[in-house]
Amino acid sequence: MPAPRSASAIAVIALLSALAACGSAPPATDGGAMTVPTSSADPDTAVATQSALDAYSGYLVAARTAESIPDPDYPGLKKYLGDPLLTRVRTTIRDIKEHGAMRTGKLISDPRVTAVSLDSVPATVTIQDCIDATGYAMVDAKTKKSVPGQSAGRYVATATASRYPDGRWLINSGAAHRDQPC
Amino acid sequence: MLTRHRLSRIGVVTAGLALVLTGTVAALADDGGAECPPTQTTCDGWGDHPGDPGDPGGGGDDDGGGNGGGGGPCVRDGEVVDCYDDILGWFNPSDGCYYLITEPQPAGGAEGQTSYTRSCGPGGLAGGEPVWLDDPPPGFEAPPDPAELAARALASLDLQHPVIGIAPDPAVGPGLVGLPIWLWVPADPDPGDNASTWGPLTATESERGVTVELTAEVSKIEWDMGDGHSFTCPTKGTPYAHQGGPSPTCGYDEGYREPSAKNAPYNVTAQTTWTVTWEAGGETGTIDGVTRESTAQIQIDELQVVTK
Repeated sequence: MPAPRSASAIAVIALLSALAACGSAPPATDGGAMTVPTSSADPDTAVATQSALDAYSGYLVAARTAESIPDPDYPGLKKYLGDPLLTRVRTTIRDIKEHGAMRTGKLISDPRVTAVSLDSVPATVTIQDCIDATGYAMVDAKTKKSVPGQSAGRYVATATASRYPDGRWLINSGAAHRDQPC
Repeated sequence: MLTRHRLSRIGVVTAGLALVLTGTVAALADDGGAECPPTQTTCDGWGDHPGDPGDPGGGGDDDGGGNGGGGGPCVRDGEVVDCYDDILGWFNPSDGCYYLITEPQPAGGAEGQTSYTRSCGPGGLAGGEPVWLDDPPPGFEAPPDPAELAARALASLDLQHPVIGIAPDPAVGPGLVGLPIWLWVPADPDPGDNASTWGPLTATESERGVTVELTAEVSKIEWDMGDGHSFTCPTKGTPYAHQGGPSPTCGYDEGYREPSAKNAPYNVTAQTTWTVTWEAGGETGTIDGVTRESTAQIQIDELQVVTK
């Protein structure tokens, strides 16, 4: 990252970092520390928010495990993901597997809920994350050497959790926005 | 750097608390190209397409005959693709997309509708969108095509080029005008593996309950002696055994009529034609046009050179 030009810039960035906790937080565990929008802090929203964040952090853990094997059929994926993201994640894991690669290392996540829609069908919760993938590398599965040009740095990721007819919340869409550093 | 400055300004203007509550950092801009999942930032950077026909493995010989039996119903942009992909589902020939039943089924469908996950484009990575349909799309849940499995089974075999046995042995010395030439393909040094110049070779391929058993064996060998004479033998011939007279099974019995020109030996070409048959639960088929070819050289001298 280039050095900020002035002391005031440093101060602003420090304030922003503190507020956003972007990338400086440890890996999300259960998302328990997430802030629920106060304007709609009714119990249903709180439950939806918590369920969505739980599904999201479960997805990240499962995806990391699946990518480190790598195994597109890793059962943990279906626990937290629904289609079409489930299929997308699986094809991507198969892709790196077929190329003799895998992913390893630490992925730092800092998700927050940006919208809750309980009236829509299905009900959805929108999540925005700042993922720090600096320590998360694609490596050759045999030699463990990193694949060149695959470092992602820190970027914005978005995801949507949907409520399914059986009451579960699963992450069913999501995208990395590498053009948006954070 | 640029983005960071932009963010800084937003942070200053919205001042503290509002940022935490609304999370307006970095709007959900569309990326334009294919989107990658949150943790997988390089999802389409490989330059090839997993949904395309599998790599054939061994036996990738030059003659295009090895992939006979293809040309099934699953074609996208003029290229044959797998009719079924174990992640993307079934190929729909009418729109070139793969379909599978969305898992789990989302809320919000109309009565009688099913949500399918549709993946279009090479590798299916460009798609992955849910669609509600009243009826399954064309090709959905189609059983495996035995001919496709047979092509895959054939690709797992190494149908080798014929090794040319020829007497008189060009490595020892030239042959003579008018004397019989023996021609044969030596016995397989490694019978039982999946490589042979003559066969029979067998292979089995299974998918989703359909099993194809395939047999490949040379049915004939065509010899072109390089002097305008050619003939066909139904067997691999008899290795030369230091005796006079023509080969009992396969040879150029009357011999060359003319000596070869100086520094221009005759090119002897052998082409094997493989008979490839397969069987799948009572259904049978063949893969035609599978041939392999090799060339050897033999020098022929005048008879009087030796009798002098």
